[in-house]
Amino acid sequence: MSRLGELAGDATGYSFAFLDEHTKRELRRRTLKAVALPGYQVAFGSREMPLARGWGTGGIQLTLSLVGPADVVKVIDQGDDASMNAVNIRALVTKTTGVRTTRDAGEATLIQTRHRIPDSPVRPGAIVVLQVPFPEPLRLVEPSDAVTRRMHAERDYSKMWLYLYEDIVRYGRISLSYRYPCMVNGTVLMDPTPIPRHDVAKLHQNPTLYLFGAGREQRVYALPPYTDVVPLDFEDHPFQTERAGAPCARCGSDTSYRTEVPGQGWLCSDTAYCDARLGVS
Amino acid sequence: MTLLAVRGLTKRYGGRVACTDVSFEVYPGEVLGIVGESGSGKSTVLQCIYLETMADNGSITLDGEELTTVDAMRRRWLRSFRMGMVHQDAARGLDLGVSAGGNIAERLLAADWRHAGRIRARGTELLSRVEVAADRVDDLASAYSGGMRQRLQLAKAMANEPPLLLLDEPTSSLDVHVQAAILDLVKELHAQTGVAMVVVSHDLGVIRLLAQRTLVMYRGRVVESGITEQVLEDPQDAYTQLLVASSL
Ligand SMILES: Nc1ncnc2c1ncn2[C@@H]1O[C@H](COP(=O)(O)OP(=O)(O)OP(=O)(O)O)[C@@H](O)[C@H]1O
Ligand SMILES: [Mg+2]
Repeated sequence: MSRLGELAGDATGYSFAFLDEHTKRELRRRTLKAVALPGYQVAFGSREMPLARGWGTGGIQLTLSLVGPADVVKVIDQGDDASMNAVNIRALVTKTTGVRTTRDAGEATLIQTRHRIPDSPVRPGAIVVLQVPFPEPLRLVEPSDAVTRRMHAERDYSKMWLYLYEDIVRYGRISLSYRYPCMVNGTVLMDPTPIPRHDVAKLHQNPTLYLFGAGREQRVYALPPYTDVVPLDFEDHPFQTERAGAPCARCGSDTSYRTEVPGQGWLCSDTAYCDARLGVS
Repeated sequence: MTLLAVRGLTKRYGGRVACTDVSFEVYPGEVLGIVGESGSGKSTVLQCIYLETMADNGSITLDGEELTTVDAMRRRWLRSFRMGMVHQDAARGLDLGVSAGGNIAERLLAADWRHAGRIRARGTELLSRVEVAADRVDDLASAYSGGMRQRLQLAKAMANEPPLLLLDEPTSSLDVHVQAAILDLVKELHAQTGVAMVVVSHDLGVIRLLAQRTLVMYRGRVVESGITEQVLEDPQDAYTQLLVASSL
């Protein structure tokens, strides 16, 4: 092994879960505040992580601040446990904690994900951490942070409503597909991250605790269990989830979120769910 | 019963007094004119009432509610339901990047309208009331001419049928033919709806046509007030005399 390799392989001097205890405690404090104020964006001091920003640094910091030796961790990216981003994040978690990992959503106590919520039921009491590229739902209609803060404080979401109205005028329907804005407990507008509308619909009155971490923008927000999450819509243009063209060509599921893959037809995007239905792991 | 009561209104910008000790009342259904030369404080008075700027001193009540101390949420509500404004500069009163219907929709959305089809229908109806063709409802406000923008501002201001409209030089940026058409429209809307109005203009012709009562402002103060005809036929104040003489 090269000298560099030896140095890199030397994990002494690192805390359990990479971050030092003080940082983890501070992150948990911020997270508690977020849980107490569902949907509200709480600022935190984002650390340098051995990952590029935009690759899940917000999510990974939340995961690392929460993980304990007894946890079982699942990491997915776009529904796939084997994608490069998921593999790298999982490697960081296991290397710095030694905890067990799984693909089974029903077994994991802590799930970090990007762009999907598992189609299989999540284990009761588990926490789901979502990676957030853009935490501010009002960014679509207002560039200034000072103004969006004021709009939240005054619950002034008329610009967002107007955006949706204009969308209908222009395209005959609400064309937003990802980052679909939702009202949380009837008080705060929230960006649910680029999960499909199929997953947005699952957030309402969900029994799981969802945490949202934005590393670049240094924000954490949360949906505690059984929170009202209501997508903005109009009576004559109700919120609708995506419709796949066919059941999964592999496992036959007609309830999962499916995407069309050239040459293969419609397939479950949650690969662990699809495998589990076929009895492969 | 008084609809709007302004008492001792004073506003300074730095050391400059924009208006000082301005007092007047507006009764339901009445049209009050404010006239005066450029810089005399007319727009400042309207902006204080519409809560676009905070008065330094004095009180403004609308239906008995003190406006100078309301919080931001209440201010938004008041602007949607209790008063409407037509700005001197249409770009200030409209979102030019949004459709005409969308500009009106903003007010209806604030009133919790949640049916896009009905919002658009109401927008079309309001536009027809200000004599804009129904097929222009989805056009961007930026594609509207100057006269149409003033019409659109009127439609937006009236969306939730507030009891008070504030009109700041509604016609001064328009050419003469369009001016006459808009003034006719304002007169007709008043006759139809009985909405109270405060109309600001430096043009005595506009005031003569629209206002039952008139205030004359000079250097931030009200120097004369009364029935419009009396003020214009028999001005008492020296400045008003000059103003009337120069407009003949
Ligand atoms: N935002 C501001 N900042 C600084 N000074 C201002 C501001 N608005 C108004 N003023 C000053 O206050 C005074 C009154 O201005 P205001 O706009 O009320 O006059 P006006 O009667 O509406 O004039 P015009 O007929 O030209 O529209 C002027 O001296 C003006 O320069
Ligand atoms: Mg002015």
